[in-house]
Amino acid sequence: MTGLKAWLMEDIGSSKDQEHQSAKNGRAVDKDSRRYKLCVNAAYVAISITMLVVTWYFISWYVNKTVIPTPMETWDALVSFFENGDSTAGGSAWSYIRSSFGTLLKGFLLALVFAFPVGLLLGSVNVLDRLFSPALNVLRPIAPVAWAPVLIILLQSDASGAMMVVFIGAFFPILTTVSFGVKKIDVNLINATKVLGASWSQTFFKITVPASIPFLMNGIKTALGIGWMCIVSAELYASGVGGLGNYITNQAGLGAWPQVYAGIVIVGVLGLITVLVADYISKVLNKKWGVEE
Amino acid sequence: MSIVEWLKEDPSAGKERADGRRNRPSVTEWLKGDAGKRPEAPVERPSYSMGSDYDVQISIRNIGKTYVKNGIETKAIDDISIDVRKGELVSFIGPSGCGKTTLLNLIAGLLPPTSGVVYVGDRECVGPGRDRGMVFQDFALLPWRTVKSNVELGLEIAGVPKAERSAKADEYLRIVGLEKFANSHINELSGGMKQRVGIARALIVEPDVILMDEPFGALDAQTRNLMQAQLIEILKNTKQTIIFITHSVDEAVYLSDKVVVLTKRPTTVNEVVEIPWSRPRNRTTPEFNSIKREIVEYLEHENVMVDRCHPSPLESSAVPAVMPGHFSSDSGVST
Ligand SMILES: Nc1ncnc2c1ncn2[C@@H]1O[C@H](COP(=O)(O)OP(=O)(O)O)[C@@H](O)[C@H]1O
Ligand SMILES: [Mg+2]
Repeated sequence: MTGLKAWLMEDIGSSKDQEHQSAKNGRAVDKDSRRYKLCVNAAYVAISITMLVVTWYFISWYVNKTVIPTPMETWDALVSFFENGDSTAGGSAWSYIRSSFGTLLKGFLLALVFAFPVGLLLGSVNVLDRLFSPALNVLRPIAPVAWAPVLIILLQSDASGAMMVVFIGAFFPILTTVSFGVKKIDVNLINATKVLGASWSQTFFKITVPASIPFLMNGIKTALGIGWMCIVSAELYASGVGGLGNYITNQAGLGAWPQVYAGIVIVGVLGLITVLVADYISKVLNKKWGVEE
Repeated sequence: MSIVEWLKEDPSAGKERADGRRNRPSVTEWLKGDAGKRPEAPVERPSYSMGSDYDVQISIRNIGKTYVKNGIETKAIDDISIDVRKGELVSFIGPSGCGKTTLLNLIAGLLPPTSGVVYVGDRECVGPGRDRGMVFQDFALLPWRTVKSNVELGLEIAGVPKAERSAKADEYLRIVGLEKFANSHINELSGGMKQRVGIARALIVEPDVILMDEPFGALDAQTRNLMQAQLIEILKNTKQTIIFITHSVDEAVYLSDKVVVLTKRPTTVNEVVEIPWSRPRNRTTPEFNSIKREIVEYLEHENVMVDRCHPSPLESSAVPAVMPGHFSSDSGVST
């Protein structure tokens, strides 16, 4: 306990404050220190996850059927998956993860490359917005995975099909947030560059693009979450890609429920990690852009 | 409806819509705005302008603006003609919503006038250009750039090489007293410092005139006084011509060579008050206060509610504040 307290007190972020603090308060824990905040955050995360696992355990105990294994059974399946790989189809856990993650990243980057400029254009050119928005709004509510059969036949590849499903899923949130953000740009920023003699394209690149970055980051966060949903559902459909979705379907076909849940847990954790990384980048940028969170 | 008409119907450039939402101008409007371009041949100033006064820097001739939105016409500016001489600071004061911002946007070329012309020197102005700089009430700085890079913006747009840009930015940061904050981020600055960045950004391209729309309106009383003093200092060094919009009678009298009192909407010139003293001025002299009183009376004339919290103007050095939250005769923020 004293060890933890001591560790909490030596803050890397504010060593100067620290001297001051310890001189004044003796051994009190500095509640503004970065380490303290980190610990509090970690505690919350731990409690939240524990609640999830306990609820899961309770449901599994109550239902008492093999389709809902206990967390312990799932944990064993998870460990064995990482240690021995997929016992039936072969292939290590990492190869499944790599495959899913690769498809996700490709689909997401493709979406970013298209959705960002299109969002900028729709946001800044009223005529284009009015022209394309109705059509896009018709397409938006269609579940991306609904395109999977079409895409797989069209591209003649399960992997490209799955990637395109991610593309569709990630495209809309990026497009929407960016075009919304551009419309919200303070007209005075635009005027400030205009009175300095800026052309339309200069204003576009010096104001519109940078001002839209915080909105882009919000879109990216949503897009990554949706991307994980898309990739797994597309892999449930496309049998030849070898991602986590494949693993889950295959194991479900064999009735190996703990293995199915192990796959689901991996997807959940990976999804969380990706979104946390995007969240961190977004926080750093928002601070620089002076955006209140 | 032809497509051209339909395009024109877009929300007008640089203005707030009635529902309070801001609108970006459309590209079409932008293109029509002729950003930064100047006519090939200088347009002769019409003979009715003050032909003998060669010092005239900005000449506003019978300018008028009527907004049309959803078929409803709002006449913001009726007919205003004013000449601003080189190196002069002319302020405009008038009731809230009378069209001061509209007037400034017309001069800046951010809005097309319904009638009338703005001349800078001998050139007729069409669209915005770097000959007319602007300082905004809410600063309008680029938060993702450092202080210095905000100041450099105009030179960057003009394609000035990096080294030259940097040297000049340093010079102007010194003029506004921010050389120590060159690499700071905008959101680390106080309001007064932000506006000094705004002023440096406008000064650096050496425009013929700088248009300031209530530039110190968002600042607290003390900062406001400091900024006024600093603006006077800058004027002494740069001889910059300035058109200044303010809510504060005190500020107008303290800074201006000429105070243009506007009527309520549709706006025309109510009165032009010349202030003959050199700057800096003493706020406590009876002459200073009598000019303030004169301007307040012109404003009162416009049926503006008067706050009679001071029983007699003679009893205090201050002039009664006109309409709380609107005109203030004190130097600070409106009460
Ligand atoms: N884009 C617009 N469309 C219609 N009316 C407008 C627009 N912009 C301003 N107005 C109206 O014009 C008048 C003058 O506005 P403004 O120039 O902002 O006044 P001030 O700056 O003096 O307070 C106001 O009544 C306002 O409602
Ligand atoms: Mg205004």
